[in-house]
Formats: sequence, C-alpha cells, structure tokens
Amino acid sequence: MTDTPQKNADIADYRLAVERHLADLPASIREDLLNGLEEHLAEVAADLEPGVPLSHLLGSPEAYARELRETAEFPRASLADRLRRGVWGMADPSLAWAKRTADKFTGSAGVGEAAEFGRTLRPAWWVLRGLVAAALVTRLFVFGGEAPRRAVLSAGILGFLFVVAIALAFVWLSLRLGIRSRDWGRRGRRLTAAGGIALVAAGVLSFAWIADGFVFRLGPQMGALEAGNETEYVSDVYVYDENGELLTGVYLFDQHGNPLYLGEPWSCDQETANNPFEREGATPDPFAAPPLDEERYGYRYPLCLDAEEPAADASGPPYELDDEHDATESAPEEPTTEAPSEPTGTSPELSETPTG
Amino acid sequence: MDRSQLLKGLLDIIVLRVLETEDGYGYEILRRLRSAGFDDIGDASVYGTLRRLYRSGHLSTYVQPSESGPHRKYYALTEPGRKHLRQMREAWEDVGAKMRDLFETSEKEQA
Repeated sequence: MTDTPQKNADIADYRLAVERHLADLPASIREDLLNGLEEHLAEVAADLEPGVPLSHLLGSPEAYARELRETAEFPRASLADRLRRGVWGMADPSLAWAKRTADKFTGSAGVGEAAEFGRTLRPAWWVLRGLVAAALVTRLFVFGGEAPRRAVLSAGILGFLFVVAIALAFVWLSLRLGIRSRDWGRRGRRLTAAGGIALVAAGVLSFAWIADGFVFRLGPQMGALEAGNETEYVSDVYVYDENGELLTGVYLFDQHGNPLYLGEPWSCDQETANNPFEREGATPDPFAAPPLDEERYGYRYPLCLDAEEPAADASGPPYELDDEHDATESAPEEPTTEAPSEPTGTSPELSETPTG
Repeated sequence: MDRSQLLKGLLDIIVLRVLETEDGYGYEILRRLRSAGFDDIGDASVYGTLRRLYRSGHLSTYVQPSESGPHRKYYALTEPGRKHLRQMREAWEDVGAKMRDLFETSEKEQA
C-alpha cells in the first residue's frame, strides 16, 4: 500500500472533521489527540484498498470524535482529584508508618488491626454522641442553662427519671442514625461524622465547668476558691496572728512560692480599697510593705483595708489556733516589713527595703 | 446488551495487557484486540485510550519506519504502566471472583 494523493486528502478531511467535533475539549488534550491523529489514520488507511474511504472502516468522523472524547478525556474533576492524590501521595509514607504503628499497638493488645478495631468502637461512639446530645438538650432547654447536677438534685427523683428518659431517647436516636448512615453515600456519612464531632465539641465547651475544679485550681488563680457558703466566692482574706491581731500588708503564696490571687480587689469600695492596682493612693499604714510587683507577690491582704472585718473579729480570730502549730509554718502568709522565711527555694524575694 | 459501556471501564487494562508482552502501534493493537475477540471496541477507543495512558505516563512511544507504508508510532509499557496493570489485574480478579460467587449462589438458590 503506498500513499496516494487521494488517500492523503481523505485522511486530512477526516482529521479536520474530527477536530471540529472536539473543539470543546481542554486545549492540551485536544492538541495531544490531534497531533498524532493524522499518523494514526495513515496507519489505518494503509490497510485499506485504494479508493475506499476511511469512514468505511472507522465510521463517521462525528462518531469517531464522540468515542475519542469518551476514552481520551480525564474525568471532569481531574484537577481536584489530581491535587488530592498529590497531597495524599506526599503524606503517604508517614500515613503508612502511622497505620503500621497503630496496627502494632492494637495488634499487640490482641484486638487486631487498628482500622478493624476502630470499626468495633463505632457503637460506643454512637452512644457517646447520644449522651452528649441529651446532656446539651437537658441543660439548654429543660433547666434553662442551669447546671443539670444541681437542677437534678433539686428536682428529686422525678427529675432524675426525666433526665434518664431523655438520655435513653437520645442514645436510641443516635444508634438509629448510626445504623442508617451506613447506607448513605460518602458525603452523607462525612456530614454525619462532622455533625457528631461538632456536637461533642459543643458538649465539651458547655460542660468545661466539670473539669474546672480539677484542672484550673492546680495553678495560681483568681478568686475561684469557694467560701463556706457554697454559692459565694471569696472576696477578701483576713489573716490573724496567734494573739488575735489582724495582720495587714500580707501576701499569700502556695507551696511553690507562687502568689495566690484570692479575693476580688475590684469588689471593695473605691475609698476604702487597698487597691493593689493603685498603690500610690494607698492609705498610710505602719506595716505598709514597699510597692511590690504584683505579678511576683500577688495581692496584698486585706484587700479592703477599712472594710468591716468578719463578724468573728470581736471574739478573736475566727478559728482556734493550734498551739503546737508553730506560727512560722505559715510564715509566707505574713510578709510584713521583714522578709518571710522562705516557703521554698523558689520563693520571691521580699527582703527589698522600702525606697523613699 | 450493549457491551461497549461495560468494556469502557476495562479499556485501560485491556490495552495495557495486549502491550505487556510486545510493543505495538495503533492499528496493530486494534487487530490484536479483534483476534482476542473484542469486536465491540472501536479504533477511536483504542487511540483515545493509548493517548490517555501516554499522557498519564503509563505508556511511552517511539517511531519506527515500516517497509510498506508510513512511519509507525509504537507504544510500550513504562514501569508505572506495569504497576498500574498489576493493580488493575488484582482488582479485576477480585471483582471477577465475587461476581462468579454471586451468580453461582443465586443460581443454587433458584435451583
């Protein structure tokens, strides 16, 4: 079979017709297809008897173009897909390592592969999701934002049963949702998972007060200690010596030498306040300590200097001091003009002499 | 039933497979497919698949003159192409086995 002008013209025509039907393809793909198409058609035409048109073997150019675009085109979402694949590709080694490590961890405990074990945990997640939803709903809509613990205590056995009923109802709904969502598409399942995580996050934020007492009281903090009356906060601190004398200009430290910020300086009357934030205007006090850095020494007690002392004052200190209890043991609580015996090695230096 | 839709998803594995043992050029590849019984696959499908596999790096090309006509563009599997073929073959065998089981069990139930 040799090239003939007629055959070449037929090939060129056919290619041109195909090109017209590929006009809407992305330029890079279209050019790639068309660049090699003429060579390819020539290979095909070499098989034809002279005089037989290409369309006899290949069908109409329109049909050929349709078939071509169906097979040659990448899926529409190719860019996003390729990007995703690229990102996953980069993360692949570390992901594989993480999976192996997780598998080893769960495998050594005898519960099989990590992914498999994760699937067995799903119902537990559903129960947790239901409980959190119930807790949120109970708190927001039933007790109007009040902490359920107290609300339930005050509502008695009926309230308790009510809360249990709500919890059971929501756990049932959550379990049902979990079973149903297995039949949903990937998108539906992802939305469900995202919603569940958001719900639990909201629950954690809403009930952070439970952890408050355990976590935040470990460090120095602002007036969070509860006074004898459960609902009232400490607003001021009065320190007495063994003779029942009120000590003033006192600083409090914990066992690490960190200042204790008890009380609420801003709760004092403006005029009587020994306001730690306005030391210049402080009342002249024979025991007045030099101006100290609040960040290092904390508040100076009593915060409200001229405010009424606690009711127990008239009959001495509000508690009986144990004689065996050496006063120096609580030394860090009475830094007057003298340096206190240091609570620990990290205690702040209080021995600075007053200036001016 | 129109098998071309069914075959469309298998074009990659079919084309890679016929090139696995021996390189080939466009029209020759179609003839290999015909002799393997794939009469429903058109030339445009083969050509389009070849170009797509070339663009994705699964195939490489080289040109060789022929005695009887125009130069021929030969296609050869690259290493990624071989890997791709292995993976698709595993997937196909997995699906094929499940399909067989599926039909066998449903036939037993009917019997």
